[in-house]
Amino acid sequence: MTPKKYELNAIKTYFFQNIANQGLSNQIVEPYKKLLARVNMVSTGLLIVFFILGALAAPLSFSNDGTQQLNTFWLLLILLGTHILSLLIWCLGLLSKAPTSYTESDWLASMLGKLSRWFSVPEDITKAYLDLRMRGQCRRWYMSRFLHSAWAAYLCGGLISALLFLATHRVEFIWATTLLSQQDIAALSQAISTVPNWFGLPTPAPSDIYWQHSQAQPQPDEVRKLWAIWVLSCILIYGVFVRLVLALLCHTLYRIQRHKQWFALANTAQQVESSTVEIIDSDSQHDSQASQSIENITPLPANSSDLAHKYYLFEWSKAIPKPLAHNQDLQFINDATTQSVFLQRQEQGQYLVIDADISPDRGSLRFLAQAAPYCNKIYLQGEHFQSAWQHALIERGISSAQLAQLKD
Amino acid sequence: MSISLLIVGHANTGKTSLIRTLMRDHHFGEVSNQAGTTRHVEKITLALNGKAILELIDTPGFEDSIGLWQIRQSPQYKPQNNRDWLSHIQHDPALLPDFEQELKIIKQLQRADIILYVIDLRQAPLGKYLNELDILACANKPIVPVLNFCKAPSQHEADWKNCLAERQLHAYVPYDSVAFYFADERKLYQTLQSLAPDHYDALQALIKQREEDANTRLGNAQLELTKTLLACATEQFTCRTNTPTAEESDQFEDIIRQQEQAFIQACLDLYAFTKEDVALDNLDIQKGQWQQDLFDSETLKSWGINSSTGAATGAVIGAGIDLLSAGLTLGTATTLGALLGAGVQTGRSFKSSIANKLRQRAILALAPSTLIALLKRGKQLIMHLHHRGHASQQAYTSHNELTQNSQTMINKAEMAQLEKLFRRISQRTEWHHINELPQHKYIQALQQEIQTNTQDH
Repeated sequence: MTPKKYELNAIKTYFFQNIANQGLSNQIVEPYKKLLARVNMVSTGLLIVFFILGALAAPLSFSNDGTQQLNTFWLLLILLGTHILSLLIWCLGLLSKAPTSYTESDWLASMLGKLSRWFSVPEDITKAYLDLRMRGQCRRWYMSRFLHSAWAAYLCGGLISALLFLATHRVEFIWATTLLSQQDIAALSQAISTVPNWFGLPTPAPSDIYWQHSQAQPQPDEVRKLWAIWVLSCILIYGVFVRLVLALLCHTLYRIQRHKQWFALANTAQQVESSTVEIIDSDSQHDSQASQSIENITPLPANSSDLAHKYYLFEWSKAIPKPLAHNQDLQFINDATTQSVFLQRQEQGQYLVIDADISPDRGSLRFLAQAAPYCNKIYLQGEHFQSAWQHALIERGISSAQLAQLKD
Repeated sequence: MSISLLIVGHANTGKTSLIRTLMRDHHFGEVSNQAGTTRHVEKITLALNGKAILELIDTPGFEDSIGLWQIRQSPQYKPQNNRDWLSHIQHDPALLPDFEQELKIIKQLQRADIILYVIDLRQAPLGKYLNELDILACANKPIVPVLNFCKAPSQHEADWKNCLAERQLHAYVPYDSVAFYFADERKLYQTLQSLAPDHYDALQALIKQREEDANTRLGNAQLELTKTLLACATEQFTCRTNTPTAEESDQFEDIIRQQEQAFIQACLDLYAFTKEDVALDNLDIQKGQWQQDLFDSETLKSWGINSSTGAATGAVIGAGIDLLSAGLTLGTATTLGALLGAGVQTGRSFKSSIANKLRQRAILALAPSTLIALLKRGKQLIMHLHHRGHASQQAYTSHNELTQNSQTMINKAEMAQLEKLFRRISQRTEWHHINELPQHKYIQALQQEIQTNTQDH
């Protein structure tokens, strides 16, 4: 059995929202279909069983100890009594609140769990099935539908069995009473006959009721036939028909609730964002940032003790380094103008300090390569990108002897 | 038609990180702490209900904007207008070796609707950054400065705002790709709405969807924590004897730790993070022997409710038997069924604790103090993940201070209240590994506690 489109979307959203193991997403629909098919098979099987039980039980009701006389109203009570009682219990059950969830100890969840293990269906799929088809009002209407269908099957079986029995046996229909009068029986018969009358079925007249009570004379064939048809039509109308109508109603309500739930879930799925990635201008260079092994780089000397000179802080964003905190001759090279002024002065023996906590870039390295001939020392202050700066500056032709570390 | 946003900025200012956080995608692009990480131009298209809304174009960073701007001022290009200059330099072979990255950016300027210029607020407004703005201004497209790392301590925010104001760039957006707040993202989309009014409705739908997604994620994470706490509070380990062995103790602790790990994984999945994003210390577990509280009124009440449910189920089964016998038993089966059903249900409630008493077996359960620690750790984790940007590269860690210093770190009255709540919850063994939470005041109290200080701000 194939799930419908909304159910498929609901399944996908359910697993997206509820089940952590995303690997199942590729193996959801097939096991779900399998579980659906198995559940339907079991339900159909049970209906057939109820049909057979009804067919077997009905003839028992007609047992008459060889007298070939059947008490009409007692027969009706046996055939339809528990059906009516069950209907009453069901109606009372509708007044209670439908459960909104199920728990591990829930009998239906437990039974379905066992069924799934036999059918090798994963537990997550069973949970999804219960959530998507058996939650709240869905469960109520599903169980009601099954209940009414089972009763309809049982009564159908009983009806067919009763029909065959009456077609092959000769019985006489009688009534007897201690508490009621003949008029009461007549009124009761007329009342019960109301609905069969609407469908044009023959109903007993007062004379037919007389024949029932009078056991002295054998009943005419027409009277017996009339009562047989009357009993069968009562079973059909007050039994089978009522249950079929209720089954259909519950089926409709079940489908409405189910679709509401799937639609709500599917709508959530439709709101999920999606994104696609595309390279529209790829890099033409291969890895151009191969770095030298750090063992080949000369370790930097320790702090410079000569802090009285003019120092240039290059592209500086952070606080003044502590060793230079009292230096009165600090300048910043933070833009093109100050870079240009520095290069145009062409003064030898300068001291530059680079912020080694930020990554070197091409523009900075270009300037430093131009400025290096005028520098006595280029200090690196900071730990984060110190070796990256060392590599990059040496690659630009700056001598490692010119490099030093400025520590706080 | 979607809006095309060009994400530009100096190298290593967090452009790719911004896109990762906007897309909630841990895997987009490559992020590292050095310049020149992104070398391609990558386009990511965001769609809602199958309709493309945004195109985000990630670019390699500017590295030598000073050099490029000097070329703009050179005699060869100075006479040209901005548009011609941008067009000509793309085809100047002499510039390609030194400015390949910058030329890739310039090539994309034509197709973009809006330029998002990413600024690292931890850096001062240096000349090279301002030259980048000068270059971008040549494209005559709206520029929205994005002030990245706005949650980090910064001395340069005021300087940047002044520089931007000098350039008539007043509509900047604070953002943090590491410490993420939806309010900042909303402001970004609202700024785009004002610059692209034709796309107002699509962006509004995106804002709404993002808000709903964020609320849903938070709600689901809180629900996971509730279920985990219920499972841990009602977890019982039956020992073989009256005194738990070390092995049994360890097994019980493993069960609890696995519960917490499952919760963490569920949260990571919800927020699209990986296990590398979280590195929690092992929970310090304190346990004790579980006792059934026969005098707890809620427990007795729940058994009463369960008994009547059992009676109803028994009656239905009995009615089925009546049915099968064509009513000949006249309801005897129904009556017997009701009695049996009630008996089974009540017996079930007492059965295991009576049996364990008779067999002299200890039952291990979690102490309320550990459950409180689990609660606090869970809440902290949820709040962290809710505000963690997908560009963050530092794993979240937490310490066991809570269990060691519970008395001082948490208000004593709150502690007593929580202990009482967890003691009551531990009596409700039928809630162990429940699929959906029942409507009960204990559960509501627990959810209330979880929601306190984990609501989105």
